[in-house]
Amino acid sequence: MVGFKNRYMTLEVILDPNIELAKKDHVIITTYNVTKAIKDSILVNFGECGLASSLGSFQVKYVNWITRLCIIRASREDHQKVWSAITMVRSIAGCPVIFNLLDLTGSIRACKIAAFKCDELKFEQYKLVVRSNLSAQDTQKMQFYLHKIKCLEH
Amino acid sequence: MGFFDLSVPYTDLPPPDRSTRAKLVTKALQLGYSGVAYNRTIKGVMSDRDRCSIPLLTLPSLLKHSPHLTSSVGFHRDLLGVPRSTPFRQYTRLTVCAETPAQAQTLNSGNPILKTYDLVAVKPMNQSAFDQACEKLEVDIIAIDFSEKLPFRLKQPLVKAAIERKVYFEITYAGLIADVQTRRQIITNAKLLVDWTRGRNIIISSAAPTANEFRGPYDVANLMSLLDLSMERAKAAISRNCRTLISNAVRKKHYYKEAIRVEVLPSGQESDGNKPSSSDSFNWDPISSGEGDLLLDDLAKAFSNSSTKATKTVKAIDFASVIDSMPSLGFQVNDLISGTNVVVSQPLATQKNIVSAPQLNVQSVATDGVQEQSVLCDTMLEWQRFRSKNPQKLYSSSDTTKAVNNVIPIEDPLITTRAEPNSPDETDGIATDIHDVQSQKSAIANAVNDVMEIEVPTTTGAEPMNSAESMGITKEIHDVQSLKSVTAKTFKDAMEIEAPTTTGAETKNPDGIDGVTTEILNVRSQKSMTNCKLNVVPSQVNLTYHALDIGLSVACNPESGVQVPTNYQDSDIPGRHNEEADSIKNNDIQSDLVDEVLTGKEKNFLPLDSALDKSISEVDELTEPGDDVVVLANQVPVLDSSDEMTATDDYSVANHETAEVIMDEQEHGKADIELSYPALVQSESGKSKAKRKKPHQVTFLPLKRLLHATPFKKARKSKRRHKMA
Repeated sequence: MVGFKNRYMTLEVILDPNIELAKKDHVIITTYNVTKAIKDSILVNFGECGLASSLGSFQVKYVNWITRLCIIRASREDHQKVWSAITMVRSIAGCPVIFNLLDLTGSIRACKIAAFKCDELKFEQYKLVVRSNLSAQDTQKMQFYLHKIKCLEH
Repeated sequence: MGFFDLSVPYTDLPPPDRSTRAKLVTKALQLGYSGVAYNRTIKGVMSDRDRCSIPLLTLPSLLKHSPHLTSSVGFHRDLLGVPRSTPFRQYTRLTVCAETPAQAQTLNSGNPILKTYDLVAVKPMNQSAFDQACEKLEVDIIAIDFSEKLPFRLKQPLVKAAIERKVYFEITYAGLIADVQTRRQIITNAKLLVDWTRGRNIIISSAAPTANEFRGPYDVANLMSLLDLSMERAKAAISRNCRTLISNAVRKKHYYKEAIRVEVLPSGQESDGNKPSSSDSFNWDPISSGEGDLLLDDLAKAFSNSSTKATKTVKAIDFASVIDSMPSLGFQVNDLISGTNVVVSQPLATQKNIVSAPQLNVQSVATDGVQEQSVLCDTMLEWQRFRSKNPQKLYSSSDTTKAVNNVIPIEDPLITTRAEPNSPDETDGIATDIHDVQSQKSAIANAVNDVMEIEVPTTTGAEPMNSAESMGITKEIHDVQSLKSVTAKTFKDAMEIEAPTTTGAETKNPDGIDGVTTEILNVRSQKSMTNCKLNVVPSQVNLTYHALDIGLSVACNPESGVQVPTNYQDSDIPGRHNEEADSIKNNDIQSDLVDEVLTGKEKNFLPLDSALDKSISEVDELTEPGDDVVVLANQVPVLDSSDEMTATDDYSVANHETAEVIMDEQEHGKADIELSYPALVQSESGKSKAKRKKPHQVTFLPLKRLLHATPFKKARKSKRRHKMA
């Protein structure tokens, strides 16, 4: 049996909750952005040792900038610490953000199912917001992202 | 179970600040919270200027910040497991900084300024103030600012005393997110509190200055793990504890407010959001806020066109709206009650909806359309109940034009739905009924009579009837109150009509009696219902009336959870009530109310009884047929409560006048119909005699209650005051 256990968190990123910046000033979230922001937060709150111990399993597995969804993996022992650190992230590259946890699962399979569903729902919302400006490109990208979720592995 | 954030800072600053609050509330709504409380902090001496003047936000203002609110709210609520149609409640809260003992002394229950707010918190600044806050002051929350070095020590015996008094400690988390230094202080200080309280009696709120420091419910619960608070307790701290707090506060507030409401047009504050509420104790009931936001469908609708309407209804501060909101509270309770009783719907079915339509209107009147809507959505079942009760209510509503206004829109749909057999369609029917009811309010007067008959569904299912009736009754009570103008006559008619329908002795009884006193009863074990039934059997009319009265009386005594208690103590009814109460507990806050009613604020109940004079007489009638202990119990109280009678006298007078009182009663009183009987009996020493003879009195009671509501309340109040003192 697998002795090492992980926790997979599905989070959504809410950009500019106080509606201060103009829409176009919103930063585009990428794997690198998110990883950096979270690591900084862990460093500030839990110190060098905290960062080092959680860095073993910590990985941002999937980020979708259209729907602002991300999947993050952490070890079972440290997932609460990492989750607290994520909650305390205030900004990514200058843009204020809020991380909101949607789902927490123990296996990658359950996480994929949940994330797929959330992603689809969020895309529907995105379509509502964008309405007429929805480009074919975005739709294509979404298909690509959804496919990517399906191919996720631990 | 919803999530609440009980500390959204509010200042009196000019408009630029208001948008911050609106954005914050929009964010809260989007993240899945079910309610917020606007917190106002004052220092020094309280003056009359400090009366609550916090404007509640309306749906349109929120939609302005986020046009696609509906979809995101729905998305998050689904993820959190909160039903989509939960209304978003807003409360008002006051935090008093207490430095000297003199300042602290002002925080007692007699302070009129405090009563204008839903929640009261104290912020002790030194050791003596903290001591007093833990041991003596009558506040809901003790808010300590952990972001600076604590000026006092948290001693274990003091904290323990506060917990026993059911005072909650508040921890705010915005500091944890905002600043690193603050974070350090908060964790150091708050950890002490968590240690001493062992995680109990803690609520978590944000106190976020902007929307950037706001976080979702589960994220907040996880942040608390930094303070050594287990996940389970943390989750309870943001949901269950908040809800209990709100329901208690709302109940307390209504109690006093009843008096206020009776006299003058109350400001729109008392409307319960809460539902549990309020009648939901929160709340539902309980949740008393002028604005129970629209449900998600309403959001869409409101967004589209009815925004203005929603605004109007939400912000209605006039009496009518207040009264209307009352029913909503009542609904909530009903909801709770009815929730468990599917049977209730049955009665409705039998009823033929005639009554239902107008009646529902009355109930649905819950004044604000918005509120109602939310209420409606929440509790379909309850509606059914109300429907049963509505017959009575219709009378009241018809009288009041105001009620009509509110009701009218809702009534129409209801009426149509009522016709349908209820049981299966309970929820649907109810909702529709509600709509109908509302619309019909205007037409109620005429329909009342008809409705009454119908309402008194002889439903075979005793239980369903009960619940329906009780609901109806409670509803009526509310309506009555709001309507004020409801004439006794109409009430009578209603009663009569109801009575006949209750012919189904067993089945009906519960309705008549239960309906009034406590929908809760319905919820409770059937046993209790049966008791009621017996009573009801003899005089169906009376029963309904009694039920109404009882409900009214119960409602009247917001504080006295168990109104009848004193009387019942002799009998085993109290025990029974407890059972009933238990059953009701299933519901939310409402059940809490019910339980309280059942358990024991007996004295309070009695005062209500006076108003219920009619009910008492009816009770007598009821008792005749049934051998129930309850019946006997009822009778006993009659004999005993001489002093109560005095109080009741006032009530009887008030009944006619104040529908409101009734409404309150309903909320509270729902718990025990049986309980109410004794009270009723007693209070009506004079009137009851005359009424006893009339079989119709039961049906008449509901209206009567409303008429007499005012005096009743007053009496209760004094009683209560006396008790509390």
